[in-house]
Amino acid sequence: MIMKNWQIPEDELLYSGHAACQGCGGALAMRLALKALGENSVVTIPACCWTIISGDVLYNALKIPVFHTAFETAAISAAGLKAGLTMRGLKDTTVFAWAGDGGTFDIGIQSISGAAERNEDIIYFVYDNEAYMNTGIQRSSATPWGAWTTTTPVKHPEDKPKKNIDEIIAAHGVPYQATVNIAFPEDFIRKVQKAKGIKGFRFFHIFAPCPPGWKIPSDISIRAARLATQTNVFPLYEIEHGKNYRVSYMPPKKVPVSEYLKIQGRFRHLKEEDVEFIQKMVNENFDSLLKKHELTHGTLQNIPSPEFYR
Amino acid sequence: MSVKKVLTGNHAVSYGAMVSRVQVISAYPITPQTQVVELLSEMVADGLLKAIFVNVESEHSAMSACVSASAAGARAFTATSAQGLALMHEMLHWAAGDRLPIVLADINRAMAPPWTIWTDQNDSLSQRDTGWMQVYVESNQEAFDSIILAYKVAEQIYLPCMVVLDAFVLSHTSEPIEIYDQEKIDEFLPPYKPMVTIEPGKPIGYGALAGPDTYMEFRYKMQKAMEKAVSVFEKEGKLFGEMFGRTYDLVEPYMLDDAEYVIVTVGAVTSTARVAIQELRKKGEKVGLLKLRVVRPFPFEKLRNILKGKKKVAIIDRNISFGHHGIFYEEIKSALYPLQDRPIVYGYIAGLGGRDVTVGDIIGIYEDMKKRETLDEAIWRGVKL
Amino acid sequence: MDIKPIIVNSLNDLPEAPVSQGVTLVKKTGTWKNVRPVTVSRSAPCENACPLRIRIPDFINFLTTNSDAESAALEIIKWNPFPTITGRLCPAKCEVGCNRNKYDDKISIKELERFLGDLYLDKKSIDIKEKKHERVAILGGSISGMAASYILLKEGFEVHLFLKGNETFEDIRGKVPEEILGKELKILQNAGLRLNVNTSAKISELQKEFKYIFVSSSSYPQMVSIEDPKTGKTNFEGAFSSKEDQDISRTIKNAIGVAIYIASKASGKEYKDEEKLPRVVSYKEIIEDYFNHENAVKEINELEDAIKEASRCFSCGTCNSCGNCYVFCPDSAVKWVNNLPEFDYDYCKGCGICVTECPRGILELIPEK
Repeated sequence: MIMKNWQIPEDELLYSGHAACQGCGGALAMRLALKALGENSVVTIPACCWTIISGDVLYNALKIPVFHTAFETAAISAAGLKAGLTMRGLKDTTVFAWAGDGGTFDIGIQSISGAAERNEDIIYFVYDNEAYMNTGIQRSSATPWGAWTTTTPVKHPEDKPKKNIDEIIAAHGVPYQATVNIAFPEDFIRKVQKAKGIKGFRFFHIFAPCPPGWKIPSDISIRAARLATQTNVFPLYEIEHGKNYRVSYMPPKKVPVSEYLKIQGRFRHLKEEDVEFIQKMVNENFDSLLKKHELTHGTLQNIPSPEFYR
Repeated sequence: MSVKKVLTGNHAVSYGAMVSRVQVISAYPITPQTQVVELLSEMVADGLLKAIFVNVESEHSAMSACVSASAAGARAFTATSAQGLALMHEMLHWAAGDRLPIVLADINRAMAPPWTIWTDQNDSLSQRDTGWMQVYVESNQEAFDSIILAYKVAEQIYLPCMVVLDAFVLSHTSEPIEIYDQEKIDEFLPPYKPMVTIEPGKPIGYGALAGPDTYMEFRYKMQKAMEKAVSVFEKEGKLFGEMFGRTYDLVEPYMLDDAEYVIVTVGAVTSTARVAIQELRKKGEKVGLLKLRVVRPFPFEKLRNILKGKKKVAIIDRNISFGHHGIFYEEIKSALYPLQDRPIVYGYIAGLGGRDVTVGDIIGIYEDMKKRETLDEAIWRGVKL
Repeated sequence: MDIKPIIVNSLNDLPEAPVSQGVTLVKKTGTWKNVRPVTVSRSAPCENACPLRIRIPDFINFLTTNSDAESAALEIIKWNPFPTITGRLCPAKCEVGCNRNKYDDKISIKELERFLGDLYLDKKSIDIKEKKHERVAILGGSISGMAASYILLKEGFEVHLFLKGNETFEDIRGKVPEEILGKELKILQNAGLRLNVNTSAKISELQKEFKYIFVSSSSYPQMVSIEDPKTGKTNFEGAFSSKEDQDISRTIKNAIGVAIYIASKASGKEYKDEEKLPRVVSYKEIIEDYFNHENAVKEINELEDAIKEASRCFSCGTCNSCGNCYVFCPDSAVKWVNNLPEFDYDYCKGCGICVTECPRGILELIPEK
């Protein structure tokens, strides 16, 4: 495939005709992940948007097997699949769990913690759209401070910062984890391919906008995702064994969070001081991440910083 | 060559799983079940059993792991009790709905609060409608045998099966057990042939959304499978007898041919009841015993054939459906209702939370039944009123 | 693949366990959309500014996609017979209009053209369409005469060039290396150009021998007067001439226009005015996020330099197979066929991501009927 901007595996393992909304970040995330993982993979999906997206009892949207499971069981379901396949001699099959933020940050966290601590040989993906979107946009512990959802109305928007799931996973010392963003497909695919070659528990936190849930037009979901990383709202990085940090990308110019917030209806009610507060949080979080990178590498100079980061 | 071992009920279950060559075991500790999986983890560590033991962080995950391992084509096993089984509840539906022949040993333990660790049947009966088969055993040998049989039946009709034994009365009590020759067991129970598997190259969606236009058909198929399971249990129970000398049916009559009065028991209390029947028979009472072994699928025809024409039937329920009455009582009574010459049926609630049900208690139940004339519901025995 | 819908009329149409039997291709989710993405024609400011309308993004694409300098040179020659000359002498209005000026620095289009022209010069030849029996006289060897010669040779005429002295390219001598001009002349001669040196040709005499005469107005300023600048008709029957301009590209363009008119007249075909280029892509439509600031390569000596410089091009209005539309489609509804996107409207839900992420303004959403 000759593409000027991208080096992307040709395999198309996501069929058209799936049931995702227009501009769904979660759907694109799956498409990219499958390109990276290839056909020798099986996936388990707990209750989330993807339960619906993947088809119904008659038709499957993926070119790999999908095992549907209960809301809180994504990680253990994957571990069980791995155990079963291993006993049948299918040891080199990649088994991955694919869950939303609710199924990961909230109801599924016990099972994830268990699987991470036991270092189960699976890859766990959370496609984070920052609320319970499948049930109609209720807040989750992944919902960012200040956001509107149907359970954090404009008069009392979300008043707690987003749970730092990545640090929770890091505390388990898992072999590999990374944050990825659908707006940076090569970074995404590169990390997933890297993870595929590692044994043990691997974790991916995917930034995946939801146009209806964020109240954005469907065509700007990539732009919104890109801005999240450009503004350091969602930095891209990898952690190995819970302690070696590597920031994947340093935005070359400072883009204020307002650029990211102002395009989304869910933040429309924010006042200037709210935006300043968010900017402060974002700065602090990014600085703390940079310190961890520096602690690992002794420098920040090795962080790539192109304008067009792929 | 078969060998004899003195084993607790829990260890009999472990051996049952081992000789069934389970491939994935996932469990979480809970009294009184814990010994089952302790021994299994040793068997795996010692290489006596080629299996993966997944040491999960909850029973919910234990059942989840069994569900997905089974979907991946492995023979899966777990054991639990009471709160643990309750926590599994959601995934029990999953196992049955996905038609996965998982076997679970439930060591009957009463539900908290108040906290308790002793036996009764409310934990397993709370899972009655999940689509699992349920086998209640009377002895440690039967526990061992039933694990093997459970896989044999489950893997033919593709529904999971629960083997239930009483806490402490069986679980922690030692009895001599005959462990059959492994080759013969392998002949009886060949490797698991999954109906469908999650594996690379087969891009199926398993358990995805079914609309109102298709959901009901899957439920109908489950019910038909359960109905078929009656004859499969019977057939395999006979074959088991031919191969190993112990025949099992869904129900087991004891001194019933000429009996006018019948006591129905489920679980270990059956052994106690056998002694009571012997004593009553010595006194010339025309009483017999019916052991209900398999409660799902429910053996309607067998019960009707045995109980029709009897005068009175007393059902001992080590369980209670609050606001209704004993669960076996309600089920058996309703099963007999279509009969013209149906007996009068009384239900006795006894032995909850591990309270002893003695030979004397059972004789008392018999005497009460015989003289009782009113149609009472939920008669409590042994409660300190 | 079998994508027939599964009809469930009875239990037997469903498996025992809840397991899918088909794939979602059955579901034509394209019916959801009320808008659809389409590829639209847009032009780049550079090509619009170029009098010769060289399709600059197209020739640059040949460099960036396949490192194909030959195709790139041929693409230029399609519009401009003498890139070796314009690449040195034209005022490069293309570069003034270049959208990249607003980002960092313009693309060195003129230098690219010169480089490609020079690089290809030894291979260059005139691909003659169809031999015609008509003979054309070109009076004067200035750039307009040479450009007219080139076009008319290509059109198959027997072309006789009459020079006052013995020099072709007389108006640009000294501004372009002699070697290059020599090679350009050789290419024309190889295509059949007949040179008549030191002549004192007169229109009235030539009219007897030649049905068509083209007068280079810089060589013979007073010989004819142009009555219709578009067709080049003059006050003499059968004699044509084109306007000269300070901008050499404009001069060449005018000469080409008249030469094409002569050819269409000779073959009895209708003369068509040049098509207007579609709407120009403005800088606002360029998505900066897909580019990096890079220093322009001002002097191009190697193919590598050319490719490096070409790769800076925004390719305004011309698909350069960047792949954004394909990569970002959540519905796998953009297929990549022959290095270009193809929309599968059976499944495209009309989300518009491809349109919004196209960094060069080629896609548009149009309402569904």
